Amino acid sequence: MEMSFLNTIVFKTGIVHLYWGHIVMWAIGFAFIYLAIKHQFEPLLLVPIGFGIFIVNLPITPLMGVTEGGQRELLNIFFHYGLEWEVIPPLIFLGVGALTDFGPLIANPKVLILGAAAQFGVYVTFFGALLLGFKIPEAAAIGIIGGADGPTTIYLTAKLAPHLLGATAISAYSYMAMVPLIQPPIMRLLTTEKERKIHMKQLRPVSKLEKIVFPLVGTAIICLLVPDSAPLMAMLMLGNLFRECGVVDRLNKAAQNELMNIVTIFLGISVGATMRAESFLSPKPVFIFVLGLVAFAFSTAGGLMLAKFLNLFLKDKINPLIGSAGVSAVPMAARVTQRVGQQEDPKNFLLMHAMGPNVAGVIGTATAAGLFLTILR
Amino acid sequence: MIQWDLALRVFAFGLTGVFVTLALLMLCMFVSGLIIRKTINKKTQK
Repeated sequence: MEMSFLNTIVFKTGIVHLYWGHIVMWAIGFAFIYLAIKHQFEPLLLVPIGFGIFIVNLPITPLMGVTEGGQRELLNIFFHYGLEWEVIPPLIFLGVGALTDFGPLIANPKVLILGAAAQFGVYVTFFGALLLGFKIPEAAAIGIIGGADGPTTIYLTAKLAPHLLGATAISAYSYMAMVPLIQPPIMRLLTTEKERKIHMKQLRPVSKLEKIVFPLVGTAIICLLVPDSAPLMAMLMLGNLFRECGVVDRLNKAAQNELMNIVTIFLGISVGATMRAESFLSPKPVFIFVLGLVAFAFSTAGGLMLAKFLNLFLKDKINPLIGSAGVSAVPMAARVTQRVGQQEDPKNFLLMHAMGPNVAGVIGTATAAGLFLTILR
Repeated sequence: MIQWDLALRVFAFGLTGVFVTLALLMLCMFVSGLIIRKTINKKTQK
């Protein structure tokens, strides 16, 4: 009697259900936490993601499943209402909008085209993923990693290929953190020294009225043309309207700080919780990581090459390095542009010029995601 | 089996769509910026 009771108790501990896959996933989770703490790689995300991976791979823990009564367990509730219900990515966009100054883009709207060109990697990778055996919706979710926009990647993947959410999200955020390593060699390879030394004309000052009108015009145009991008675009522009209108300082600060931080916690832990050993340990995530790198490289190249092409027609030449900032990673990609530019000429200040294509990239990636949804849903 | 016709449609429609959408936004920003600046200039001249 006592033996069978003891057996039951022992069988109800996690230890007897452990297998090598769980240990591998713990190692991955700990590696993320290590990278965040030691190397400051996207710590706000990698710490909760890493911890999420760890706890969801503790066997038979009631965290990510559904009870016999059909009730979702804790992390499953965060995942369901946060990601499957599309709540978290648009709220992150609200915060991004509140944090972003669109002034450089308003002052020089032609750089919007560089933001479009930097989506090239999205479509190249889409084909790459198809050739590796992924289905079309999966290939779209993988391709969007090339936009270098974490929330958009999560938003699209949750809709088109939710089973790949962990891998695409981790891939997107990992490469976003590695922008300073990935982009400079491509930038140097595709530009000449003379091009990297181009000084650009100072941007004109932008009036407050222009900054207030921009989110309204932007929302109208994008949402009329690509309605499926509305959840992201509308929230991005609302956040920016909070910032620029000057009369809702409390809302602006809440969107930038408290709301953004709360949502980031739920985003990180929900994404980490999708990475269970049973589903994650397969060749697919490895392919997704490789394809993510391809996507980043082609997106960087797309922005650079279009900037070079535009220079054939423009009187006031643009420094092609700012094209690489068309990938969305804000403001990291713009900082990389500034750094590479200053390595050639310390007196060249490209940061504000690069912020234009950088924020255009955010709009471009959300548009690309909306277009995928338009066609594939 | 890859549905190449759908894949090509996604590629062509998607890439063109991104460029067209952002180009239209660019145009609207030029026009609205021009109108706003002219209005502000007129007001300051008065």
